[in-house]
Amino acid sequence: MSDATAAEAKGLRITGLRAGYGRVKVVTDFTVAVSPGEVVALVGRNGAGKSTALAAAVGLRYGQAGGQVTIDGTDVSKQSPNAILVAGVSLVPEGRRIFRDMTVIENLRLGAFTRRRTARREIPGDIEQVYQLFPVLARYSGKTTGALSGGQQQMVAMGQALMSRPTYLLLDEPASGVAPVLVDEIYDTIDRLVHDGLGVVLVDQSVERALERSSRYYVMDNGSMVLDGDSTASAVDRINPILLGTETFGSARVPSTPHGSD
Amino acid sequence: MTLFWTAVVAGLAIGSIYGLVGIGYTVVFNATRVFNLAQGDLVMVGVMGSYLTLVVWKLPELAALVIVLAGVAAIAAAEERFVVRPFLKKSGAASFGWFIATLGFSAVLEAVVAILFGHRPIVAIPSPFSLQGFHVGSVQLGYRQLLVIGTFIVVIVVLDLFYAKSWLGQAMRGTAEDREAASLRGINPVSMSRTAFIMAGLLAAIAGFVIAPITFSDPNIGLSFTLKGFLALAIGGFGSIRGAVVGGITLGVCEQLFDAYVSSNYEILVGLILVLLVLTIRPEGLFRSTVARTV
Amino acid sequence: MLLCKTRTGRLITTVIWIGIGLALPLVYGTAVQKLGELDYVLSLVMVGVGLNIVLGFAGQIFLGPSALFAAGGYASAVAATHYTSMQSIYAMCAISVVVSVVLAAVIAALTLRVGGFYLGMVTLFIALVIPVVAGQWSLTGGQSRLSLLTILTFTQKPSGYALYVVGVGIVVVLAGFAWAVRSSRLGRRFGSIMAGEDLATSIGVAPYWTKLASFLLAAIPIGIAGGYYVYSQQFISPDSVTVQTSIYILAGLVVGGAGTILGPIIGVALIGLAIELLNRFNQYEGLVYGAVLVLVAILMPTGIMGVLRDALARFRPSAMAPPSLEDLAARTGGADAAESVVPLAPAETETPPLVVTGARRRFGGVMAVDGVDLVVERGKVHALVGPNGSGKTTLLNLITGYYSLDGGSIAVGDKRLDTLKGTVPVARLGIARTFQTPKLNEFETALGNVFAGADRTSLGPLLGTLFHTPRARRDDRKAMAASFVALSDVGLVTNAFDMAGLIPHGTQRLLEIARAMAVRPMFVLLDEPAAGLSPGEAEVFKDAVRMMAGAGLGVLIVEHNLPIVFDVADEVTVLDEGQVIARGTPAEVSRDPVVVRVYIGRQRLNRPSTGTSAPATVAGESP
Repeated sequence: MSDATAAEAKGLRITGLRAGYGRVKVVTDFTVAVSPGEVVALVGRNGAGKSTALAAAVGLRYGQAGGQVTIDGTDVSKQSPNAILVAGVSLVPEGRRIFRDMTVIENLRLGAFTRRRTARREIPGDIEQVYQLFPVLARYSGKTTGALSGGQQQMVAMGQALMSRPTYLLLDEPASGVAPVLVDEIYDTIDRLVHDGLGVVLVDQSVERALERSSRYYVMDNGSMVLDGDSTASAVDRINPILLGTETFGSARVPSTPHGSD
Repeated sequence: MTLFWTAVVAGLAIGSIYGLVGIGYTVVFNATRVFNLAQGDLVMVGVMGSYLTLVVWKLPELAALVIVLAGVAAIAAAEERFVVRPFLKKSGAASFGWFIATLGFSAVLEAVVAILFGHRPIVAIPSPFSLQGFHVGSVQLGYRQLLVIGTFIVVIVVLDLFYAKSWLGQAMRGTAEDREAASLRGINPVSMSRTAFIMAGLLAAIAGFVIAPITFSDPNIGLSFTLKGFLALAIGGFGSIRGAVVGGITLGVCEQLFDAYVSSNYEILVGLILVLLVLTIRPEGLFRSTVARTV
Repeated sequence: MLLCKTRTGRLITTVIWIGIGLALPLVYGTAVQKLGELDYVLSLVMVGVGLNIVLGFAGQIFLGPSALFAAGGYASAVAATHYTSMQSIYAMCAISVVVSVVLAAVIAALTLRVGGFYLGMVTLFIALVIPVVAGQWSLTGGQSRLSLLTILTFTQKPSGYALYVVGVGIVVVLAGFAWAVRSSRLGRRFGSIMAGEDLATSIGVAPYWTKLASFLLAAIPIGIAGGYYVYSQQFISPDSVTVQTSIYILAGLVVGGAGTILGPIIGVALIGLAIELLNRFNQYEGLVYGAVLVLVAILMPTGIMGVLRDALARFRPSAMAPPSLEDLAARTGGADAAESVVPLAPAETETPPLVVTGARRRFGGVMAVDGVDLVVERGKVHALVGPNGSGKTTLLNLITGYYSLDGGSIAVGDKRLDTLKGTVPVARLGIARTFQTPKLNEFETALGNVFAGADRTSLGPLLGTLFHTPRARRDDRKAMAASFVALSDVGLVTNAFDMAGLIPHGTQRLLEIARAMAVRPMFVLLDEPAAGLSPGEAEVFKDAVRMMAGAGLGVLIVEHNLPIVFDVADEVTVLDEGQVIARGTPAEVSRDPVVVRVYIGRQRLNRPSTGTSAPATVAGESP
């Protein structure tokens, strides 16, 4: 994976990101790039560090940090989550972490918090657009989100993240805890947004589904990247051994070969 | 029955103050997970400030109120910045250092006030409301008492609107529920802490201002308010405005009834008995809240 | 004290401190009034020593020492007023102690349901109530002081400097008492409680009784302080035992360093002297101790002794361990003694396995565990794997007693585990566990942490450990040797004196395993132990697991990390959505297409999707 050197290259580039909890190093080398209008998948076992890496990329600091994050050429590496949101990157963390004591519409509005002064007039219109993407939310707009189903909550979470009008969306396990039917609906909506120019990093426990919905993939293990490539049908065969561990391997990166080094 | 209703009215008035202190705690606790032990002393500063502006400087009421509000809010903001913030950095107030630090700050407040004003309790702070009241049946309702209760109601309504309608209020609710999710939406946790403390300062100033005419103005009342406010929350439940209100009123009314029917000397036992009852029967208080944590 | 590691060294520093104490009046003043002030400071110091036991050793935020102080003091004053026989200092102290302990028991019984700042506030309130009640009650003299001088038969003897010396002597004895408590098995339990209830219960320490014990033990020095105070000042009034007193003492503890022996003494003495000196500047005393509290809390929360110890640790790492632990380590011969210790009992042929039958547990609308059967044999390693939300950790928590079963049973032989209440009895039965994030006592050394587990094998009476009976000392030596064995089994002997909070993550996991082994359990349950381990650490971990099995323990590992698991497990059970979907050897399970699909394809095998567009049910899919 060569680093793009042209400063004006459009895209979200995360290079060599390090992060941890206090003194525990969870992420030692996280490197991912995504361009507008494409979906890249991020897969790996539990505990590989995917969630921590994404959170660190948008500015949540958990102890030791390092590495670089650039958005369309602008370095945002040490910025706060607020600044990175304004710069156009929005993270939907796993676990449907919306505000369960607040209603759907309150949650959506709060998603536009950073635009409350600059774009006040546009916010009601944006909420309407979210309702068009996820019609079921319009029906429950006054309902407390704690009472919604997992799938509906995930829609609120995504709608909330979209309210800041991001150019890049990081989705951490959007399918987790969601009924299969709604998963498809949500993924179809993501496709529509990507078609309109959104860049998406998608984490999914199901490798098959992740590959179906993306153009490229990255595999992460033990805090660093071990494999990447194009999301073809045969990619599953290269990825499975890593996840199931029928081959043991070390933490060195593996460029495009299925066998890891020890 | 006259005695009963007189006691109830008095209880509502003093309970409103306890409730205001309790709300001050709650606002800060929800945003920061810190229990500001100096809250009662902020009220005391409000009382002394009222004395200073109304009696010593002889300012008109409105001007005095504005000065007291600004002054106490500023002190609260300073407390957040210098006394509490060092602990907030340590992964969400995990240590109990803030307990000691805010306790120390409350002692500093008391000492400063004592140095400036001396230790003598001061009464007779003027009020636009005369000492009289009006009668409903045979029960006397003092204007000043009604002011306290009325202020309390206004505060609750305003806070309700604040949390329901304003950007800042909603952001604070979000932060209270899930700090990390809130910060992912661009809500700065440090701003939330500071806002919470300023709000607590304003609440303390209001409480001090309305109660000044009917209480002893004395540096030592701070600790008493601190503890009574805590008791209000212990009874009503931590983490919610409703809990603070119910707890404060319950404590106030029970105290006054005890005074009227049993003995006013041992009034302090009422709080003790109530809290021990709550601890035994329902430790999380009358209204449990998702935010409350006791251990 | 900590500056010297040899016994004579420590003896010398102790003598020096006593000398300083005795010589203090020469600096401060020998007039009767001055000595009286020093006596007051001494009584505060005694309270501080007591408070340290409950706050510094056991971590309980008890802010009402002045309540006990006042109650005890008033009791002795009242007794002395009415009974001539109660007028000696010994009698007064005795009465004071009894009342103090009884009141502490009452307070504990009422308030130990809560902890943290809640406990602090309630006890602070109680401290407020006591003087007010005393001020109203005619028995206690009401608002005026209760003075001993009005009693004709009362003579203060000893008095003057002799009385001061008696006071210093009492402080020395109480310091020794505190030391005896801290270095006893009970004292180590206090440390475990302070580190965390989950940690404590997992090694079989019962939180409620341990906290209660800390309250009662703390009440003894505080009680003595009350008696001494009344005797030396010859009066007591509501103004002399206010809430402020509690706060002064707390400040002293924080300044000196809570949890140490010398810290509270120095800290409270400094604060007390400062207050006496500032007495003429009455208002400034509050400013002083308030500012001190704030600054110390922010800048040096470990207090003077803590700062000194940290500074010393740069030159000598083992300075972090309390001297008693080091002593003991030295006396047992450390790692060399390891050979002399009987290793973990190998599996006796008849030891029953841990059997889980039809375990069921529901949370909200979801069956987290749905009819799971599992058998963990002693001497074997059993892995429990499955995707997120499959119920693995829930099952582990059901076995350890953290959750209760809705149906089914868990038993070892004919002993049912699921009918036991809570985690403590299960741990005491011989089920040890580690946690997803290691739960260690960060303020203890690695050795100290393991020692807390090894204590479980000491069977002598707990009370005896306070008195350091020969039996208790023998038990401690054996436990210490066993701790070294456990450390060497995971290769951490060289880290023995490192602070547990500072060692790397992987090492912390191994340390948790060492502690679990030191308990001498029958079964060890490991909760996702491989997360965050480097490849090298993973190897050491695997060796440790094999060793545990080899020594006869039954090991249950809950894990995601399949390569590691397949390397060490004898048997694997695969869960998905609360149900067992596969079981067998690692080789069999990894080839099972059902397992592969569950891990890779996330097919919901047991809950076919409805495929309709009806509104989804609430909370039906949350993992």
